[in-house]
Amino acid sequence: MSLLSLNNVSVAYDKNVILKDFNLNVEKGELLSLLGPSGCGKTTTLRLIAGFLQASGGQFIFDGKDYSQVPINKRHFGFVFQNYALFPHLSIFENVAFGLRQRKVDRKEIEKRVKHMLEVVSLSGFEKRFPAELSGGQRQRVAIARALVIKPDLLLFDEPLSNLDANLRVTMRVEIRRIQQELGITTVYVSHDQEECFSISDKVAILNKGVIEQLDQPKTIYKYPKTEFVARFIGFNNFIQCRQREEHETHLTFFTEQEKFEVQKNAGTTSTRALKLAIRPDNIVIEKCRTGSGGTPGHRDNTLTGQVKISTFLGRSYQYEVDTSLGTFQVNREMEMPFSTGDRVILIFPKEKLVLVD
Amino acid sequence: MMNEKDRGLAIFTWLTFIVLLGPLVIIIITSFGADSYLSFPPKSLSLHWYQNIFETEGFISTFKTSIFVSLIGNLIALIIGIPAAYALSRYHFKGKGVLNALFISPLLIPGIVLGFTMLKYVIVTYHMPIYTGLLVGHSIIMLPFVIRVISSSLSNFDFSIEEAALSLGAGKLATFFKVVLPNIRSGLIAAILLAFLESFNNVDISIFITGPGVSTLPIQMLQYVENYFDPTIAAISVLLMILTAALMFFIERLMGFSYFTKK
Amino acid sequence: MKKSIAYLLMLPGLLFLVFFMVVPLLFTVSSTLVQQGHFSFDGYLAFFKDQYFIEILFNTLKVSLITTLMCIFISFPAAYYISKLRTRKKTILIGLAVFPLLTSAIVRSFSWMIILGKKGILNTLLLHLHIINEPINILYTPTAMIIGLVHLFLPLMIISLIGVMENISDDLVQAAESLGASRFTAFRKIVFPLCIPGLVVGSILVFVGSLTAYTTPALLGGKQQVISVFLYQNAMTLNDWYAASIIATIMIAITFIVIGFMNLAARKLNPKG
Repeated sequence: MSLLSLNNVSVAYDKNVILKDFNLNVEKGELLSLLGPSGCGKTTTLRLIAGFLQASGGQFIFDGKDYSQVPINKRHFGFVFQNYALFPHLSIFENVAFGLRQRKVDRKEIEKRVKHMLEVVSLSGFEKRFPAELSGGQRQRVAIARALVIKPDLLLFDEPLSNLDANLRVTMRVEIRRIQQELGITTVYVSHDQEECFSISDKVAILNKGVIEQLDQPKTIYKYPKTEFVARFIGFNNFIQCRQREEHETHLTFFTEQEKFEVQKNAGTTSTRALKLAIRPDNIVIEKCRTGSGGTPGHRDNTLTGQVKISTFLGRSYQYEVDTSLGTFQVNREMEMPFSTGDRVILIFPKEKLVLVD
Repeated sequence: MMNEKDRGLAIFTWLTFIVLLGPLVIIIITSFGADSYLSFPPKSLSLHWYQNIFETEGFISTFKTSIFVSLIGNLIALIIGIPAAYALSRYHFKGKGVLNALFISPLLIPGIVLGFTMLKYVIVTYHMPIYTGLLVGHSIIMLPFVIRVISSSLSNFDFSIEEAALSLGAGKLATFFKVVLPNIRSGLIAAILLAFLESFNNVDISIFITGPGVSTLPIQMLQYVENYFDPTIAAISVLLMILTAALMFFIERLMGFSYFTKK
Repeated sequence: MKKSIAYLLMLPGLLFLVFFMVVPLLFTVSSTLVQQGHFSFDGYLAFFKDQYFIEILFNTLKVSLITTLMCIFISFPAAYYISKLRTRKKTILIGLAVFPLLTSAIVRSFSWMIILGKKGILNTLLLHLHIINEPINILYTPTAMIIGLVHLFLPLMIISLIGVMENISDDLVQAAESLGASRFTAFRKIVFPLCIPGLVVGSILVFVGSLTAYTTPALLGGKQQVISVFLYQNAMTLNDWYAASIIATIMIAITFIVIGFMNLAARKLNPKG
C-alpha cells in the first residue's frame, strides 16, 4: 500500500475548480515531483497535503490513516517554501530549533540536533546569524534544515529553487537529492522546471489543468510521452495526426491522406490506440531536395517534402521552420551546410524516433 | 482563509467599527432633530438646524476664512514644499537626515506649542497681521504632508525618465513640469487634499491666532459649543463629514487607501 | 554643482521654517531660562514644586498611557483581522477607519458629548433599562476624556498595525504551524514579534497625540485639566506668557523624551527588524 494516497480529491477557490477527482499515490522513501505549468494545480496539491488548505471532497490517506481532518500542526510534515519563509526575527539556530521547541524536546537534545542538521546543510557556525544576513542559497539550506530537523514523516518542497540563480540551482538540487536519499525521507517536490524535476526524482507526475497526464520514471517520460501535452512540455514540438493504423510484428504503420509512416514498436506503443505521432526537432533529418525545384520526388515512407520558411541561428545549431503538406515542422540541424529561406527540402522521420501520443 | 476560529476576530472587529463610526451616525441623526436641545432619538424631524447655520452670525464668515486660509496656505506649502521634497528625494547631500527631520518636525512638535510660539513671535514680535499669521501657521502644518506624500511618490519615480527627457533636449525646468510632475500627479493631489483637511480641521494653531473679526470655522464651533448645546453643531458636523467623505473618495481613487497603511 | 542645486531648492522652505517656527521656538525656550538678564532655572524649579502643576502633568501622562494601552488592546485583533482580508473588503474597512481620522476632532468629541451627557444617550438608555436610577456623570470626567481620545486615536493605531501585519507573509504562520505550533503559538511567537515596529510607531503617535491633544480634553474633560489646556489658559486667559513658555518647553521635552525612549525600547525588543 502506498504511504500517501489522495483519493478523488477536489479543491476549489470560490468558484474556481483547481482539482477535481484528483488521485495520487506516493510510495515510501521515494521522491516524487509534481511538474507542470503555473496554474496546473501542483502547488494546490502540495498545500493540500500539508494541510494549508482543505479539500471540498475526497480522501487523504497517510500511512493507513485518514488525514483529511488532521490540523497542520499535528501532521508532522516538513514544508520548504518557495520564499523560504524563515522567521526574520529569529536567529538561524532559533529558526531551526523552532519545530523542536514546539515538541518540547529537551534543551540539550535541541542543541545537538540543530548543530547536527546545520552540519548536514553545511551551515555550521551560522547559528547566531539572522536570515537577513544570509545569501539566497544559505537561506534555502536553513529552510531545509528547519524542515528536516523534526524528522518529518513526509517532506514537501514548493518550488524551493526558483529564487536562486542558475548555478546555485544545480548545486542545491544535487544537495537536496543527497540529503533526501541519505535520510530516506519520502518527498513530494513541486517545480515548473523539468530539468530540475527529471534530475532529482524517482518519479515525475506531469500535471495539466488539475489532471495528472502522466506519472512515470523520468527516463520513461522523456522517451515515451503519453499525451500531446506531455510531449509538448518536454520538447516534442512536431505532431502528425494520422487517420488510420495497421499493426505488424515489429512496427506499426500509420496513414494520413497521402503519406505513410512506420513506427518501430517500443515501450510507449504497446497499450495505446492513439493516431497521433510526435517527434523532437532534433530527431528529424533534413536534406536538400535532389530532383531540383518544382517536381515531386520519388516518394518514400517516413518522408515529407517542404520549403524552408524561417531559418534561425541558435549557436550550436540552426533551427528551421519547414512548411509541408502536413503543416509546419520545426527541425534542428548542426551548423554545416545551412539552408536558406525558400530552399526545397526533404524531411526524414526515423521510425525509431517517432512516438505515439494521445 | 477564514475558519470558525476567525469568527470571534470578525465579531470583535465589527464591534470596534461600530464604536468607531456609531458616534458619527448619532451626530447625523441628531442633526435632523426638531428639539432645541440634543436628544436621541429625536422626537420629530426638521431641517431647522441646517437653516440655523446660515442664520447664525459667524459660521459663514469663518467658513470663508477657513477655506481661504486652507487653500492659500496649501498653495504656499506646495510652492516651498515641492522643490524641497524633490531635492530631498533626488539628491544626496550632507545633512540630509537633519533637513528631512526639520521639514517633518511641524508634525512632531505639539500643535498647541506651535500655536503659542507663533502668537508670541509671528503676531506680537514680528507684527504680522492676524490674517497673514494664520496663513503662515497653516502653511507650516501643511508642509510635512506635502513633503511626505510627494517624497514617497518620488521614491517610486524612475529618475532615468528624467534623464531621458534631458537627453531629448528638454531643459531642467521643462523636464520637471512635463515629465516629473505629471508622473507624481496623483500623489500630489492626494497631498493637497490631506493637507487641506489637516488645515481645515486645525484647532491648535488657529485658537491662538484669532482676533477681532478673524477666526476659523473650528474655533467658531468650539465657542458655540461652549455657549449653546443645540443640534446646530451636529448639522455643521454633517456638512463637514460630507466634505471629508468627498475628499476621501478622491484620495482613494488617486492613491488607494493602502497609502495610509504604508507610511 | 548638483549639491548646490539641492540646497537652493530647499532654501525657501528652510527660510520659512527657520523664520516662523525654529526661531520662535528657540526664543520661547531661551526666554524661560533667563530672568532679569541672568541665566536661571528658577522658573522650572517653581513649576516642579507646584503641587497643582505636578498633578496636571501626572494626570496627562496617566490619561495618555491608558489611552495608548486601550488603543493597543482594541486595535490588535481588528488590525489582524483586516490585514488578512482580501482586497475589496479590506479597502472598505481601511476606508472606514481612515474616515474618522480625517474628520474634525471637534465633530468627534461633540458626538461623545451627545452620548455621555447628563441627558445623553447612555444615561437615557441605562435609566430606561433600570440599570441606574439617577443619571451618572461621565461627561467632564477623565473617563470621558479617555473615551474621546481612544476614539480619536484608534484609527491611527489600527492603520499602523495593518501596515506591519500586511507584510507578514501567511507562509510564516503556515511554516510555524507545519513545524508543530498551534495557531495561538504561531501568533505569539511569530506574528506578534514582527508587529513590534508598527506597534511602536502607533504607540508613539497615540501617546504623543494624547499627551498634546487640546480639543478633546477641552470639550470632554471639563475642569479636569491636562497640560495642553493648562498651557492655553496660562497664555490666553491668565496672560502669563512666562508660565506658558515654560509649559511649552516642558511639552516639547516630554515629546522628544517619549519618542526617544520608545525608539530605544523598539530596538531592544526587536534586534533584527
